[in-house]
Amino acid sequence: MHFVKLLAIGLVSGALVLANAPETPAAYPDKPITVIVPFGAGGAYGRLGRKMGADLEKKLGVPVVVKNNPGAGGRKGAVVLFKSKPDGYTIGFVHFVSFQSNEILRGKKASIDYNKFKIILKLTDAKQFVFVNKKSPIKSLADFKKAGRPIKFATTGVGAVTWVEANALGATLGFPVKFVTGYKNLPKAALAVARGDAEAGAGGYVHVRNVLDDLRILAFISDKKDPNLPDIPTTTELGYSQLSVLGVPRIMAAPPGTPDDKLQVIRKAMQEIVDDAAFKEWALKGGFFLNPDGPDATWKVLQANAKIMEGLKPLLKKK
Amino acid sequence: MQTALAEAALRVADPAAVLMLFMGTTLGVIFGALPGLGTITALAVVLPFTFGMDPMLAMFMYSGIISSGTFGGSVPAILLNTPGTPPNAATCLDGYPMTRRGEGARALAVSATACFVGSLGGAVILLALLPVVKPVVYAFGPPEFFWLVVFGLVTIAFAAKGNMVKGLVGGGLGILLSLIGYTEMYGVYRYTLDSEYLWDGIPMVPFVVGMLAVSELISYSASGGVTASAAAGATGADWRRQTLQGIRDTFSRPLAVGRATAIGAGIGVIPGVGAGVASFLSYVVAIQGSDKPETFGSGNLEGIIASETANDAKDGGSLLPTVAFGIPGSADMALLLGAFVLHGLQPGPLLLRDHMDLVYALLLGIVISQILTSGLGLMAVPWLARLSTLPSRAIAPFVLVLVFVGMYMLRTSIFDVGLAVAAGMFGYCMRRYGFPLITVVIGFILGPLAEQAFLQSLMISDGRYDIFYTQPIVIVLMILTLATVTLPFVKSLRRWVTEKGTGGS
Repeated sequence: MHFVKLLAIGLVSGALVLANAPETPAAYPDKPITVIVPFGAGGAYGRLGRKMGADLEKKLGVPVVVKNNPGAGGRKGAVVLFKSKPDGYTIGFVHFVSFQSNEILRGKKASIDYNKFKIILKLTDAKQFVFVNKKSPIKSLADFKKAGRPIKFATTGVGAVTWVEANALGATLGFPVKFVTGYKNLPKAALAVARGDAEAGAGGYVHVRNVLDDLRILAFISDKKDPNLPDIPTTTELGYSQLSVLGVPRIMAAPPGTPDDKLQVIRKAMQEIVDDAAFKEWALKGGFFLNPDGPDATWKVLQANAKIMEGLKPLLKKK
Repeated sequence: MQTALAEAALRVADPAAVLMLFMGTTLGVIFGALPGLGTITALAVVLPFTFGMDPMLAMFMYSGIISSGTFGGSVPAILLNTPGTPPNAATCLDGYPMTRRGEGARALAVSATACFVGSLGGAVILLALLPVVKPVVYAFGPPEFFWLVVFGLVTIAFAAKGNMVKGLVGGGLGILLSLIGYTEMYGVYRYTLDSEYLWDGIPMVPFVVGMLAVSELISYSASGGVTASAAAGATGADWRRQTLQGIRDTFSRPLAVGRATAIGAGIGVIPGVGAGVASFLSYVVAIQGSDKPETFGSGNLEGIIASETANDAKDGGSLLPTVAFGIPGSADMALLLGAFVLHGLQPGPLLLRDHMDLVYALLLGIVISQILTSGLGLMAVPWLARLSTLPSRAIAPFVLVLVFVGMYMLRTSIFDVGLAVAAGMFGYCMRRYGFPLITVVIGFILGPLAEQAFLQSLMISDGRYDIFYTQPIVIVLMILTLATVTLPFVKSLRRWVTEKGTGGS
C-alpha cells in the first residue's frame, strides 16, 4: 500500500514539473551530450575522446557520454554521427582521411556526403617521421634519389596514411617506391624497418620510440617540430612544404544542420580545454601533437590532402 | 629489481587490490565462458572505469581479466562443444568426447589444472626472457610467421581424421570465407557485394560461435536426450572422484605440460601470431609426441592439456613484447597497451626501468588470479559437470539466449546475431553430411594469417621464393612442419611393411 502511495505522489509531482516546464528553449546545453568515437576504446582516438569528454563535462556542466562505435576504418561511426539529430547533443570525431582515401584511391563512394559535416575544431594532428633502417646508406631525404634504386617502405596497407606519405615522398623527390604492406599497426611497421624487412617507413613518435636504436630518422612530415625529437628537421624546413599537410588531423565535428550558435558554445569550450596547461601536458605525455585549428583552416588542409591523393591515383591503375 | 617485486607483493595484500583482482577474475571467467564474449570485450568494458584509478590497482583488474578468461572459455568447450573464445576451439576436440563418455568433471579438472600450470609457467618464462626479449622479437619476421601458421594449419589434417577429403574441403572453405572483406595489403575489397557490413569481412566471433555453438545446439535439440548418457546415474561422489583424477592426470604428465607451456609462451612472445596458433600448434605437437596419436580427437586428455596450457602460458609470453617494446603480442595485449597509455605509462625500455613494480604487479596479478580461477573452478567442477546430464531441451534454449545476447553485445549489431544464426544453420547442414566443422574454423582463423605472412615474405624478397627456405629459423620450422605431415604416412607404411613381413613368414 505504501508503495502505491509513493508511486502516486511521484506521478503527480512529475506531471506538475512537466506542466510547469518553460516553453522557451533553455540555455544550451541542458542535457547530456554524446561524443561518438569511431574507433575502439584503447586507441589514440579513444583516449583523446575520453579525455576530451571528461574535460567537457567539467566545462559545460552537463554529463558527456563517450561512445565507441568502431568499424570500417572509422567510417561506420561517422555514418552514425551524420545521421544523428543535429541538435548539438551528438558530436564526434570524423576520420576524414579514411573517407578520402576510400573514395579517391579505392573508388568507393561513401553513403554520406562527408563534406557536409560541421567541423567544430581540429584538436590534434597525427604527424609522421620518415625513417630508414640504421644500416641503410641513406642519410637524408635527398639520398633517396641518389640511391638510384627503388626504396622499399613498410606500411600498414595500400591507401593508408603512411602509404600516401611514402608515395608522395617518391613523387616529390623523384625516386621509385616499393612496399611491404599488411603490418597490423604503425609500431609493427616500425619494428619491421628496425628488423630489416623493409628499408624505410613512416610513423609518429609513439610508434618509433621503442625501436629508435635501430632507426635513422630523416625528417618530420609537418610544418611544426615534434617536441619529442626537436633536432629532426621538418619537411617545410627542408623545402618540401607541399608535403607538410600530410598526416591524420583528428577532427571533432557535428551532424550537418547543427545550429551555429550551439557549435560556437562547444568550440569555445574545446578551445579553452586544449589551451589549458594541464591538457597540454597530458597530450605531450600521451604522444598527441596538439595543433588546434578552426573549420576554415581544417577544410583547407583536407582539400590539400585530397589533391595529393588525386595525384597518386595513376600509381594504383598502373598495376 | 627486488624492491620493485617487494613493492608489488605488498600491494597485492592491499584489500583494494584483492577486490580488484577478484572483480577482474569474476568478469574474466564470465566473459570467457559466454560464447562470443572474451577477454578483449571484458577489457574494453572496464577500460573506461579504470580511467581515474590508481594505475597499480587498474593493473590488478586487467591481470584478473586476462588470466581467467581462458579457463572460463574452456567450460562450454568441454561441456557443450562450444568454445567460449575462439582459441578454446582446440579444447573441444578432446574435451567434448570426454564429456560424452561421462568424464566431464575429469576433463574440466584437467583444464583448470592445465590453465594454472600454464599461467605459472608463462610468468616464469616471461621473467627469464626479459633480458633477451629484443633478439627474440627481431628474429621472427614474415617468413618465420608463415611456417608457424602453416604448422598450426596442419591441425586440419589431424582434426579431419577418418575423412580426409571432407576435412580438407572444410579447411579450404574456411580459408575462402576468411578472404571476404577489405584487404589492407592490396587496398581492395574482396567479395563484399558492396555491402558495408562485409567491408570488415565476416566477423570472426559470430562466425565461429555460430558454426560451432549454434549448429551444436540445433543438432542437440534435434537428437534430444542428454550429452552424457553414460553418466546418468553419477552421484556427487563420482564427480568429485573424477575431479581429483583430473588433477592427478595433469600433474602426472610433466612432459606434456612443460612442452605446451614452452610452445604457448614462445608463440606469445612473437607479436601478432595470436592465441589461435598457440593452441592449435601445441595440439599438433602433442599428437606428434604421443605414442597413441590415434586416440586424439576422441577424448584424449593430453589434447586438453596441450591446448589449455598453451593458451594460458601465452598470456605471460605476450606480455613480454607489450611491456618491453610497446608492441602488443596479441589482440588483448593491444588493449592493455592502450590502458597503459591511458594511465600515462609508456611501455618500452623506460617502463622496465622506472615502473618495474607495475610489471611485477601485472605478473603477480596474473598468477594470483589464476590460482583463484583454478581453485574456485575446481570446487565448482562437480556441479558444472552435472550440466552434461541435463536433458538437451532444458539446456539448448538457455545457451542459445546467452549466445544471442553475447553476439549482440559484442558490437551492438543485430546483423552479427543474424550471421551467427546463418552460420549455425550452415554448420548444421555440414555436420549432417559428415564434415568436421572444426576444420572450417581452423581454416577461417589461420588462413588469413598464412596468406598475409606469405605475401609479405614475397614482398620482402621481391618475389623470390628462396626466402621460405634459406634462413636458419625458417629451415627448422619448415622441417618440423614437413615431418609432422609425413610422419603418419611413414609410420603406417612401416606398419604395413612389417605386417606384410610377418604375414609372409
